[in-house]
Amino acid sequence: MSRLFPKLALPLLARELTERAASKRTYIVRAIFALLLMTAFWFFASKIFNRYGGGATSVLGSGQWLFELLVIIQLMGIFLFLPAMMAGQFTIEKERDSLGLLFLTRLGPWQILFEKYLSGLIPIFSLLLLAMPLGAIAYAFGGVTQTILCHGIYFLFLTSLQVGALALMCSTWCRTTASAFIATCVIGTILYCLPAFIDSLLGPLIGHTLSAAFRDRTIGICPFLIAVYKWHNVSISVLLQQSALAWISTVLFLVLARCFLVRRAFVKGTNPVLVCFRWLDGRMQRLNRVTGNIRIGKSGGQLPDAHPIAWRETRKNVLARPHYLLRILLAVEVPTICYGFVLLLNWPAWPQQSRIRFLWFFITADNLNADLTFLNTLLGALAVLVVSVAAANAFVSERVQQTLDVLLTTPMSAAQIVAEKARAMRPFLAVVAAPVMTLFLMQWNVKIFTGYLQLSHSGAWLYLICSLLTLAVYLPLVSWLSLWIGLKMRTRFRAIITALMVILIWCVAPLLVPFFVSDAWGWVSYLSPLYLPVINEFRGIQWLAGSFAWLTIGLNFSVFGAILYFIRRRCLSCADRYLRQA
Amino acid sequence: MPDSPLVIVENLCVNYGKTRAVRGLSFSIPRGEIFGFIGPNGAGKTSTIKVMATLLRPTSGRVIVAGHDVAREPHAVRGKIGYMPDFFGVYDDLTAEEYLHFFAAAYRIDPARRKSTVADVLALTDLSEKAQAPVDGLSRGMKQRLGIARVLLHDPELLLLDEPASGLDPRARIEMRELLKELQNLGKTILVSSHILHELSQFCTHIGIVEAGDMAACGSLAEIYRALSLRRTVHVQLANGSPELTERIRGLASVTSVEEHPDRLAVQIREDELPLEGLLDAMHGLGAKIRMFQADAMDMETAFMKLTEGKTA
Repeated sequence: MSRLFPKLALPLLARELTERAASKRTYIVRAIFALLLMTAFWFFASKIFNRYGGGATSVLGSGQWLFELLVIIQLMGIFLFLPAMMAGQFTIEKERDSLGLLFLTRLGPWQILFEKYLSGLIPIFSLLLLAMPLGAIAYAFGGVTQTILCHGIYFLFLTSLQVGALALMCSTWCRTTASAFIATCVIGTILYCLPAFIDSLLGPLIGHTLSAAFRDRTIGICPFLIAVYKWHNVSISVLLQQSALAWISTVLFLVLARCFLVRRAFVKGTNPVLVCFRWLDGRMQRLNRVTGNIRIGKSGGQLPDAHPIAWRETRKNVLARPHYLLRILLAVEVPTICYGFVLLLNWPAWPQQSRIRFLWFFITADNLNADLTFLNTLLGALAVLVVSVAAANAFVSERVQQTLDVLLTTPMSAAQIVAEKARAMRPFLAVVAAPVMTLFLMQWNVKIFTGYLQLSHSGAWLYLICSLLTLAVYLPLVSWLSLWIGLKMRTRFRAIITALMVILIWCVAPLLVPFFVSDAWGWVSYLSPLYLPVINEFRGIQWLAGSFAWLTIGLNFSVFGAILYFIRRRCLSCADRYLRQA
Repeated sequence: MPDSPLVIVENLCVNYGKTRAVRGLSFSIPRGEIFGFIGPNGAGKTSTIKVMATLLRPTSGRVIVAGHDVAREPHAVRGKIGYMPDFFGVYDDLTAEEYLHFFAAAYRIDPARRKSTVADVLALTDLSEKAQAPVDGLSRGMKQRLGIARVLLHDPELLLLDEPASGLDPRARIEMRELLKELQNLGKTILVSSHILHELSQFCTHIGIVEAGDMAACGSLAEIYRALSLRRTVHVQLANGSPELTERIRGLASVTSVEEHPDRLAVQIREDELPLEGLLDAMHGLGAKIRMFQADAMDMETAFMKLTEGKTA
């Protein structure tokens, strides 16, 4: 083929696929994906059999439900695996300093881009093909029409293209794989939550009729949402029309990737927050000449005293300098408070059926509390994400910069180094926790104001104490857990991905066990750090534990506090071994 | 024990999984010497240095630094050594002075003494003018000098310098060489690994040539030279040069060849049999009026090629 059509030779694609084929990781990922897919499918299929009494004829026609489920699981798989697989396409070349060599070849930027794009998509398509036998089983149960089959394949194909293009764009923009992965996750979440954001956050401000209409028009940007809500009984032309925004966004991402590919090929890693703050510093210094040199805290000029690592982290790190932290706090806290007040002021005029359908646990929420919960969940997830990334990166960055060896030859013990790093994280944790705590307090007020909780009953105090303990125990837990993982890892990308995956699995897996196995396994849910806060938010601890509510809260947070203590102790006692490992 | 060696390495073995990076290495470094550690990539030099710097636990064997076992008393050893790795990782958000103060605090130097200590090491490494410059903005040569300044902060007895001259331009390399000589004059014992063999021969008093985790040769330059029976070239300019005199020099015992150049003679001798001063006396005995007598530096490249086979661990 390449001899007949030299332009179709695709040498970069061939190299990438050969490299992937030679890597053990390809086969490990494939095996994990297949295992997850088949386990989930088996659980759901067995549920159906149980529901219909297990008779062979009684389950006929349930294939449609199974097929839809299979598509949803695969869509989840795409979100989980594709960003990680695609984010490194260009950043790895940048980290190896080999991107410049690619530009010296006869390959043009568009060809490089598409070959990289294809080399990322082909492995994910091969993963999706693993579901074919399961699709055949679903088809055998009956009920899967040709339209549903085509629509399912269409959603999977479109989602892969869109998520892949987004990750590729981030890869061309960012300097490191870790930052490209985080950027993909953040932009993807914002993009896919846009319809829910518009409905929930803008509703009180611009009116719910307008926001709902806007939401319905923008839902097409997320093929996943169309797949969940609108894929039945529509013709392919309607489906194409509805998913036009997804196609447009995919093309836009690829065009932007092409623009960034050459322009940002050799840029040095710059922190956009730092650039923004430096610009602000300049403005503030000018303003200070007018205001008579007012200063809030000192950020520079001092030299280290007894704790050099904590000094460097808090004086020089962009996420730890006192006046920068104050700015971050104000940037998040002020809009949170303002938005909370807007919600409170507009509350009586709200329609009762204002629902956020995007996340399943919001389906029953239909009042002001739901919107505050939505915002709090969002900020809480963001807090966990940034704390986890910052903590996981604390030691990996020292390894990557090759500054760790020199530190380890000083008389400071490894445990002291770890303790100082953790100590430097404390102000950051406080800043991250502040807006979430503000929302908790607002919700507490709303619940009392609406009569949902009464100050004279213990329920009000249970809610407040549980919310505050959630922040006081879980944020340090996330921080120390991520730090622990970061101590053992050698690359940023691996440390961040592992930390986030461990937290996600720890939070979600225990909640799924009773759902998949049986209600008798309900106690397993307590192993998830999410369980009690979620119950506290939606039902109240008393609904779960009755008169043992205080004991339940005490036990839950004591156990997670003990886990925090164990992890902290482990980090300090084994620091020498972790840091000096070859 | 001022006469005992500062570093004693006995049967050192370092394994990374199944790979044996260092295989029973033994050598010692006397106090106040500059020990050149030479070997191809993958020979085990960095692994050996990392064991001495307490960064790596030896698989077996023993390393004693200033009377302390690195595996048993790492904390005591850290106070005696200054380690500079082959890659100079920097905190790009610090100035040179802040960088040194950071490590002065890490080395637990008395806060009252820190300012003067930092100023002293900056002056010694000729970086006083760059004290307020960001570390990231310094040239590679300056960064290496800053690295030397850092390892001197706590006044260690032993300096472990892994490839300090790699990637430096000729001027920076000469400055580095002069700095190391100055440190030796201050009584420091220095272990320096390098690939630039010619440079090492100019200032190292002892040499260890290591290959595939084994010590191929170890000792003073003259000892290695003698052990290998290497020939040495001496450049001689005669005021009364003549073909007869050249022939008589050629006939001297232990002279292997005499090349005639327009302005001088290149006399090659077996130094283990005829020392340089012996050659000078013998030529005087032949009636030669000597205007110039200059011996070539040790031919380390030849020694290295002869001792090693290009194997890696």
